[in-house]
Amino acid sequence: MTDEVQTSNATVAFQEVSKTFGHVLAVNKLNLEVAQGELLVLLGPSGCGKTTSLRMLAGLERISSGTIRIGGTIVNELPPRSRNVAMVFQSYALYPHLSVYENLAYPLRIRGLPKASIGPRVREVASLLQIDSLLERRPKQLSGGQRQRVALGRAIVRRPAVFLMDEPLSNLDAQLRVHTRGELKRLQSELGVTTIYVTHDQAEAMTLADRVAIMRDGLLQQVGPPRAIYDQPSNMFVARFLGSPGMNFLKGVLRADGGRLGWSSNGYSLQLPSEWTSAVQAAPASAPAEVYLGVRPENVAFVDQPDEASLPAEVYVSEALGNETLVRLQVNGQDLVARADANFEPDVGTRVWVRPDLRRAHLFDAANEARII
Amino acid sequence: MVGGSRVGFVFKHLLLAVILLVVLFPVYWLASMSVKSTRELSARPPTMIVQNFTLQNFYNVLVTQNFFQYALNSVQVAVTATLIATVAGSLAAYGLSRFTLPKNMNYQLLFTVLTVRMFPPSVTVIPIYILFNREILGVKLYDTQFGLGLAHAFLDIPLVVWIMLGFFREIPRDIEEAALVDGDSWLGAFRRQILPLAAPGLAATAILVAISSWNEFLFALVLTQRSQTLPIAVAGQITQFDILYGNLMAGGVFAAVPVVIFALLVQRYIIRGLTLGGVTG
Repeated sequence: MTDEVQTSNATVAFQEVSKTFGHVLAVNKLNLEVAQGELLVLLGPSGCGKTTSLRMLAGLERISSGTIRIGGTIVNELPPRSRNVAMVFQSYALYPHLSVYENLAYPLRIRGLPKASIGPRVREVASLLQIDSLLERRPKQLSGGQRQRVALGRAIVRRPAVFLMDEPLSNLDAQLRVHTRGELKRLQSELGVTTIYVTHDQAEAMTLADRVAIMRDGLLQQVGPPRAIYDQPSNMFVARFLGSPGMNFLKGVLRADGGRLGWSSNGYSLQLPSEWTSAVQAAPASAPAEVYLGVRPENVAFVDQPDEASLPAEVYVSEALGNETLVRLQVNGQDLVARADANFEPDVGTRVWVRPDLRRAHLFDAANEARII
Repeated sequence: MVGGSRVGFVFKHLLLAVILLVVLFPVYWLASMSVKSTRELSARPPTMIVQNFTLQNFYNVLVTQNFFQYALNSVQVAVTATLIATVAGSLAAYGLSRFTLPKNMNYQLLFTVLTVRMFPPSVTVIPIYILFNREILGVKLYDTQFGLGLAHAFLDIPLVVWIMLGFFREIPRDIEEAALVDGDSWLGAFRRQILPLAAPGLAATAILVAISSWNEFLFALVLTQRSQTLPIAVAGQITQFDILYGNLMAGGVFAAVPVVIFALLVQRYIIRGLTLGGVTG
């Protein structure tokens, strides 16, 4: 332990980082860089390795191989206390036997700050988070939202190089979660501290992140700004995971008739945009191959008259959400969800025609689920 | 009482009364015999209620035989045993609760610790006697309060490990991990976070160890001579010529009173410690 991380606001870099638990490969050669002041969201289903990655960065989990750098310093062998990171736990992990004030003061006390400077800093953070009236209370006497603030405060008071947040909002009720999400975003941009935020909630990822990194089974799938990932998912997993509901996939085969590219399934076919032709031909598995046509629910339109750009469908169920209606359809035995106007409430079994907006659609290779277009 | 019949109510209380009688009668008999005169003690049939109240028996044991010295020995032994057993046992339990050793060693260790209690004490006491009778590093532990305390600690460490393991397991790992990230060392996190949270359990366990050491007979009998503890002194009233019933009873009362008072004072902790434990929220 020669050097500790001193920087107050730092970059983070994972280089070929792997973690195995026994025979289980939890994180597989993770390569990821987080810029100074950036908020990066690690997103994925449970068990995808996102929390393990965060814990390796915090020093709570040893890395099996690879290198982790914080502010340029290799921290592989540094204990958590020398990494200058602060963490907000899903359970908040407040110290139950200490008052809110003592909870906030703890990281400063441990670091041997003089008492005279601890008080003002604790009060400053408490007023920033509007918990100044709770300082004498014990964690048990606080509501969920208040505990969350204290946990956040304990991280902020340190002025660490990096914030680590492990699903900090998942124990809050829906309304409070949305509210706190906004607060968190604002706070992070005000403080400008590099933040790594783990969640399985795609809405949190979309709203909070400067960039999102999506993981699955220990493998990083895609990294980028949320909007870019939403519009250009690298594979079907990412496309399904982002968006609520996720992207629809209609299985079919590619045909090239008369120089024009077509998609067909069970006797129904769609003309694909001509500009897709070259991209499809460049793809390794060339036509006619099995593909998935990927289209987001908001890009499916209902049409009155059948035409060559539409498909027949049957309403399976429609769910009125108030501001909109989600219509679950069956298209040739395949599921398709469409986002429709709130006034559109078709009965179960109604036969309709739907037109996917092909300019916003994607093609995925059925063999490896990668995006072709 | 909602929904209970009158007969049920009476029956329950009758049952309680019988149980109480069975439990408390020996205590009453001990106390009443301790203040009977020698003549009354040998009366046939025995008197249920004391006829001639006397403190002669207490004078015999407290003044003539100076039982206070034995009480002091007992306190020294109990304190030694409690300190050693709780410190060593709780550290072991903490380790076992936090680290998973390979090859299911956690379970093996826990089981091994328990085997100490599986031998009849009369089996282990002889080797310990031989060991204590030797001078090791210039120290001979035989007939010392510290030695007996150490032996008692050896007997009670399994108890401490098993009870404390439950408490440590209930403390979320997040809390000490938060402390580690906040800047603490492992030992610091243990001292500043885990120990205060486990305090009720630790108190309850310490009390149990103290009481068990105070009452222990066999090891005290074999491992001490001049530095005898109270149970041995009480048993000493049974001589090869005579059984001094009055002294026996007075000594028994004198030995039991501190424990009873102590238990009454701390029962709050024992019950809270052994039932609650939780640090949720």
